[in-house]
Order: sequence, then structure tokens, then C-alpha cells
Amino acid sequence: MRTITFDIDRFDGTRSWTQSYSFEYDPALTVLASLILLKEKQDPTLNFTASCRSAICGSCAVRVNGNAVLACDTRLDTVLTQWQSDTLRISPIGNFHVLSDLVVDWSEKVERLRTAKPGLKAKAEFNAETGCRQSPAEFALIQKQWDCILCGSCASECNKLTDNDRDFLEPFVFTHANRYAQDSRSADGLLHVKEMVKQGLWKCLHCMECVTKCPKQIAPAADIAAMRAMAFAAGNTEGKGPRHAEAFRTDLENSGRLNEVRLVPRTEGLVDAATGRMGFTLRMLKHGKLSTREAVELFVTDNKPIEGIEGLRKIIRYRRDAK
Amino acid sequence: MSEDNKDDTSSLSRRTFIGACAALPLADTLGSAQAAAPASDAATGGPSGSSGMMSFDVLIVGSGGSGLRAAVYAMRAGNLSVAVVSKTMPTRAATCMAEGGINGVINYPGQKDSLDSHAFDTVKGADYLGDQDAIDYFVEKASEAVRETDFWGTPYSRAKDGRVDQRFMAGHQFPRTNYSADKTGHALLHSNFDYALGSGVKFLLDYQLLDVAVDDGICSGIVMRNLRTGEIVPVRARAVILATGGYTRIFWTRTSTPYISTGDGTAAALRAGLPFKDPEMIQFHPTGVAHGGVLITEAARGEGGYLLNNKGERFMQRYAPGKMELAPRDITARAIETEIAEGRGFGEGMTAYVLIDLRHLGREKIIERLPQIRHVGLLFENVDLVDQPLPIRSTAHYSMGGIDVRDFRTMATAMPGLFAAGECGCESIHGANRLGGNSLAAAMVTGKEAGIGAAAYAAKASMPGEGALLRIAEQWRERFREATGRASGPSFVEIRDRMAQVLWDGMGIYRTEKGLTAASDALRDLQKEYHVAKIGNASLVYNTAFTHYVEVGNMLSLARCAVLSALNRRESRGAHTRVDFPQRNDKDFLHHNLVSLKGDDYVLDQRPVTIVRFKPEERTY
Repeated sequence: MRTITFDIDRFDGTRSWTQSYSFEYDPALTVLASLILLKEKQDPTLNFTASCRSAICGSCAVRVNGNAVLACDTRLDTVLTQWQSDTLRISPIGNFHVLSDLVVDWSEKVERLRTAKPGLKAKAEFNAETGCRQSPAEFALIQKQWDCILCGSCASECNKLTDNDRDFLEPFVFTHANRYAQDSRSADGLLHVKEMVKQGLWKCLHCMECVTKCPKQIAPAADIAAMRAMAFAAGNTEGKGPRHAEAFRTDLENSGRLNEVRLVPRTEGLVDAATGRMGFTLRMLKHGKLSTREAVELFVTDNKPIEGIEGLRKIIRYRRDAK
Repeated sequence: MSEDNKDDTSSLSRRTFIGACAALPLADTLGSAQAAAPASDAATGGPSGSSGMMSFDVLIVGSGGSGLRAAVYAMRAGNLSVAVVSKTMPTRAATCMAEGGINGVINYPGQKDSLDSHAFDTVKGADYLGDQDAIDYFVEKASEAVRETDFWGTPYSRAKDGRVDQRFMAGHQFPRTNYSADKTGHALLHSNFDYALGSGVKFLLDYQLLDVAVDDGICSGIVMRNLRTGEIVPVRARAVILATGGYTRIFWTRTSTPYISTGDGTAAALRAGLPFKDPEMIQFHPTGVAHGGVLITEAARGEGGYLLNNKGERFMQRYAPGKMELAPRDITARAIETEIAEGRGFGEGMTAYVLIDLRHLGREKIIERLPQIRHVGLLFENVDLVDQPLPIRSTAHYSMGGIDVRDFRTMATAMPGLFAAGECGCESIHGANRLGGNSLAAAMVTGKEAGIGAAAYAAKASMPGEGALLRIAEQWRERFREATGRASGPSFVEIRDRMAQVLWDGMGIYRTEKGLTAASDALRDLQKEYHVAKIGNASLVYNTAFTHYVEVGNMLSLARCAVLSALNRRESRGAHTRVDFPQRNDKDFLHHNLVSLKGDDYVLDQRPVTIVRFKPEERTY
């Protein structure tokens, strides 16, 4: 008999511990079906939430070996194969307050969702009596963002939230904002973008954990990027975030590569950078990734353009002028 | 202020408190001014009254489509404190599982559809058990709801000219089912949630409804359990809207509905003295995956899928040659069960099945228009519909019956202050069989009307007394102590699964006097066992075992109502098929069944169906 072991992170309101449960392997099980089996056959004190069991209600996100999945939507075989092990660690999703075992607190997240200013504020030409008009192509622009089931997976391994959740929001909040920002029916898409700028739109670290973890293949990082572009296009170019993006673009247009030496002063401003925020360049120098001569050269003369730079510049111009 | 109440209020964590009751005065500081005044200032809603008991003008129980919509409309009335309580995070409700669409006649240029036609199809689909005045009202409001939700942000799939696209659903004469790919319920639920958030609706998450309290025949609020702390919390409300969904989970092991559809509101209303209307009317969806019953939506047939038996025949030819796979659900479900019973299915017993085949639609169409269906097939059967037909069988799907609603314009029940919306209420729009696309429409329509109706009532009503609330809360505290303290006893989880088996055998797609009598006896025994069952978890913190124990008790009670009604309906109508009485019998049974609880006894009563324009005729397709 093949035995599977779940090491489950438990919490009873005061005490935390890890408890091992073993059960017989069955290829027909999902992660959720395994948890239900454990609760109903072994331990009625084990707590988790589940509702629809078909990956549309968002109740049952948990972490398997530190990575968020929808328990109902994940075949046991898949994770056993993925981790090449018959022992798996099951934990509550990260960046949430844990209420008990695998159950997390959503009430705080619901309040944070409100910052996206959810709900359509439709253009003046539309009304509640006749509804709206939207082309299939315009619908397609927002369709993916509407697939969000609020399972919390995108927030679970978000490195920015783990670092500091007071000046940033859960990736799904950005996705919510963007679905109204991009909606052709919206009177003012920027309304949602402006709120998101205040809530840390430029602070995303681009670690892409949200994109990797979304069980609905939504890319919250792309929603963040889309709203940054909207903010930029609307003239919101002040602040380190926009300057950082602008520095990237300048480098790419100039040479096709990043100039790490110029990037920091361009982002931080020369004064900030000179008074102690040159750390990155200094660290590069210290670790021999950059010689002093190269650093000076890069600062003064920039990178040598890459082969095919003209093509790249053409793409950039094309995107910029397409507006 | 009693110690209990003080605990109840302080038991709310700071975050819950802020989130749910924004800017509330702490119970014993401000509240008293509110107690007498109707229509208190929204900003100070929440704990009020001299005792500090939590109070709201309008309290909505349940956060699915109808509950959220009710909340928005109660807020819109202005100047009322409104809160939604839910045993889960909002959006976990069955609404999100509805895939096919929402019915609503829009009357685009060049279309021949009409409200009359939608009304007739609904009446006929209901096998004439629907109340026609309620249905006339419903179809008009459904049409409005589609346009309004579009305006609120629901992402609808679009036709080339920019209007909301529509598809055909079984049992309709015209394409009038507005949709969002195959996730219409999800789209509606989340857009309503977003709209509720934007409207400032307060949410109290992780509270389980235990009972509805009645003072002098008037609903005075609810008693609920704070799942996070285990505390039993009485809440006063001028008006309560139950939007707790259906009770189809009574078929626990063979149903498409979510685990939370346990009929908590219906059971609470029953205990509070209200009748449970047409409880025997439970729709079996013809196409659930063979393992477990998760739904393969009607859109699969609407887009042109074939149903095949083990001879490779499109067997619907035998049962509905005119409509084929687009025949209504009850007819299709019976056809599938008949094919299996007569040996033309695959497999045997509970695991038997037939096939649904989409391959001829082509890869592109399946991926573009039916992504969710394809996904479910892969997950539960490891079958890709692009390459293979999928094993399916009937699955318990929807509760047509529910809390007896007396006024379909306000969704008021016979008890002042208590309203019911969505699947937990019965107006009755769906009668003996609901048509595809009418559930989302009903959720949107009844939620809105309940929100408006309850707000209008609350604006005039005084804050009810606390007596019954305190008494019931104390009873539940004692019940928790007693039940979780049992050191031994049968497993309530096994009781639940036996209930499902008993019901599938006795009250499934085909029903007989003998089978129903056996089911009735078995349920009585299960109920006895239930009261001594072991829970095995006495924790106060998020005790999901006790939560589920309460749910199982609710379901046993509702199942008894359903079997009693099914026994007495000695005819076949809509979803209710009596093998021993295969014909519809309008002379004796053109009436609603109403089951009430008198002490420990379940008592059956009747009320005639309202007929307006459409005289009952034979229902064929």
C-alpha cells in the first residue's frame, strides 16, 4: 500500500504546530478530497474552507510545499509528481491572517478591495434602462480580469506584501481596478488608476509570483503594468516609479541594454543617489562585477548599442506613437 | 447590559468591527438614541439599543447573487443601516456556479421575442405549478435586470453590434439567455459584489445563521454564531432578508451544488413557524460528471452537444424528437435515467453513465465558448472534451421549493419583518421545474425586490424587542455545550451520507409510494441518531465540525418536509415523477404544498396555484 503524508500547519487560535496525517494513495483524489477524507475519517478538529469544488468559488486555496493552489482544482497526482515526494506540507495561504488551521481572514481583504473603487461608473451615454454597448473586442480586453475568483493565491507568495503590506495591495485588488480602468463602458478609467497609484501601483517588485500562482491564468502584474501605462499616458510621470520606468525606456532606446550605473540616479534623482543611495553601483564594484573604469565609462558614455538597435527603437517608437 | 451581550459585542475583532460596522459607536456609548427611532443614520448603524445588542435596520443573511443585490437596494433607500452576514467570504455562493446565462427579453430590432413568450415558457416549464401573476412580474423585471446589471458593470459577452449577446436555452422558444462566456453566474455574482462594495455595504463574515427570532409574531432578528470565536450572537433587525440559497445538498453525495447549500435559512424559517412551500420540487440536472455530480452546463447542449448511449445513438430522439438535446431538464434527466435503467448506459448501479459528445463542435469553439466545461471534464474524469466524449449522469441541482413568500413584489413572508430572496424563497416562479437561465434572473429580480421591500418596511417599523433573541441565544449556547460534549455516538458525517443515499433511492428522479415511505421512516431514524451523534470537536475557534453538524440537522429537517410532500403529491409534475402516478392530475394537485413544523410534527397544507392567462395543458416539447 502506498501511503501519502500531509504535514499540515495547524493553529487553534493560540497554539501553532505541524501535524502529520497519513492516508492511502488513490489516483482519483484531489488535494481537497484528501483534506475532506482526513477531516471526516481521522480528525474532526481539522479546519479548512471549501464550497463549489469546481474551481469557481475561490474558497479552498492552500499552500502545498509553500506554493498556493486551489485544493479542489489540484489533483493529488499532480503535486506528488511535481514534488517527487509522497510527503507534502499543507499550509494556509500566505500574507493573510490565519483564523484556524487552513482558514484565513478575508474581512480585511474585503475592505482593501474597496480601494479599487469597484463597480462600473458608466459613460453618460449609457443608462440603467437600456444598458450599455460594447464591442466583442472591447469585452475581450476585460474578460480575463473578470475571471478572478478572489481565492487569494496571487497574494500568497507576493514578495512585496510579505516585505510590507502597508504601502501595497494584494495583486487581485489591482486586477479588480484594472478591469474597470480598461472597460470601454467606464466614464473614467483613470479614476481607478489614480487610486491604485496612491496604493502602491509603482511598488510592485515584478517577482511574478502572482502570475505564476493564479489558478485562472490571470496576470495581475500585467494589470499593474497596464495601469502604470495609463497613468503615464495621462501625464502622471512624477515620482520614483515613473522615473524608474522612464529610465528603463531611455536605456533601451539608447543602447538596448540597461545602464545600471545611470539607472539609480535617474530614478532617485542625482542628489539622493549621491548622498548614499549609490549602493547598487558600489556593491557591483565591490564584488568585481564592474570595474571603476567601466563604471565611469558607463556613466559618461553609456553602453555600446546592441546589434539591431534600430529595430528596437522602431518598436518603441511604434508603441509610443500608436496612441 | 447582560454579561452575554457585552461579550457578544466585544467578541468582534477590531478588524471585523471596523470592516462590518464602520464608524460604529461601541455598544454602550451611543446606541440608545437609535433604539426608538426608525430609519437610523446609516453611519451609526450597528450596535444600538440600551442593552448594546447589535442592531441593524436591514439585515441580509447570505452573500450570493440575491443577497448582494438586496443589500445594494436596501442601501439605496438611504439612511438605513444595512449589513450582510455570511458563513463564508461573499462570492462563495452557488450563484458563481451558474454558467449558461440569465434570461431577459430585450426586444432587439428584428426579434420576435416577447415578455408574454418568456412568461408562457416559464409557466409551461414549471408544469403549471408556478403562480402566473408572480411570473408575469418576474419576466418584466428580468428584462430590466439584464440591462441594469450591464450598466453596473457585469461583463456580458457581446454581439457584433455591441449589444449583450444571447443564446438559446432548453425550453425556450427564442434565444433570450444573456450570457458571459460560460461563467455568467460568476460574472453576475462578482459584479454585484463589486457594486455592493462600491455602494458601501457592510459585511459581517464568518457568522453562521442559527435561528430567526420571533417576538409577538414579528421577526425580531437572528441568532448567529461567530465562527471565529464560537460566541452565540443575537442581532436585532427591523427587517431580515433571508438569502441563504437552496437545500439541494440533502443529496450530499450526488449534487452539483456547493457544500454550503444546506438550506440554513429555510430551516430557520421553518422553525420560526413559516411554511416550507413545494419542498418536493427539486430539479435534477441531466448532466453532472459521473464522479460526484459537478455540473456540465446546459450550454454544452445549447451549443450543440450530443447525448449518446452505449449504442452510439442520440437517444433524445425517443423522448423529445422536436427538441432533441434541447428538451427541458426534467425530460432529459428522465431520459438519461431510463437509458441507464434499460441497459443502454455504461457501467452499473450508482456509477452508471451515458456520454455527452462535443467533438463535432471543433476544438476552437469548445475552447472559446465552453472553457469551464472542458476544465471540469479534465479535473473529475480526466477527459478532454476536445478529444473524447465525457461520462455524465443526472445530479441534484436546484431547489424550486423554499420559504413561502406571500408577496412577490416585496418578497415578504407571512411574518412581518421577514423577507426571502433567491433560491431560498418560493414565490412561486419556477413551480415544478425551473428553466435554464431563470435562476440567475430570479436571483437578480427577487434580490432587488426584497431589498426595496425590506427597506420600505424597516423605515416604518420600530426596533423589535430582545426577549426572544436572548432566549434563543441561550438555548444555542446550551446546545453547543451539550452537543460538543458528547463523548460517543454515531458519526454525523455518516448520517449525512446515509440521508443522501436514502433520498436518492426513495426521492430521486423516479419516486414511488413504497420508496417514499421507506425514505420517510429512514429519515425519522436518522434524525434520532443525529441528536446523539458525536461531533468530536469542542473548540470555540472556527469549529467547522459543529458548523457542519448544524447544517446536517437543517438538512434532515428539510428532507423530511420534502418526502412528506412527495408522498402526498400522487401525480407526476415537472421534476416530481411518481412511477405509480405517471400522469399530471390538475383536478387534485394543481396546488402548492406547504409544510409547517408544529412541535416535532411536520404538517402538510395546501394552497391553490394562481392561474392568470395560461390554462393548464399537456406539457410536451
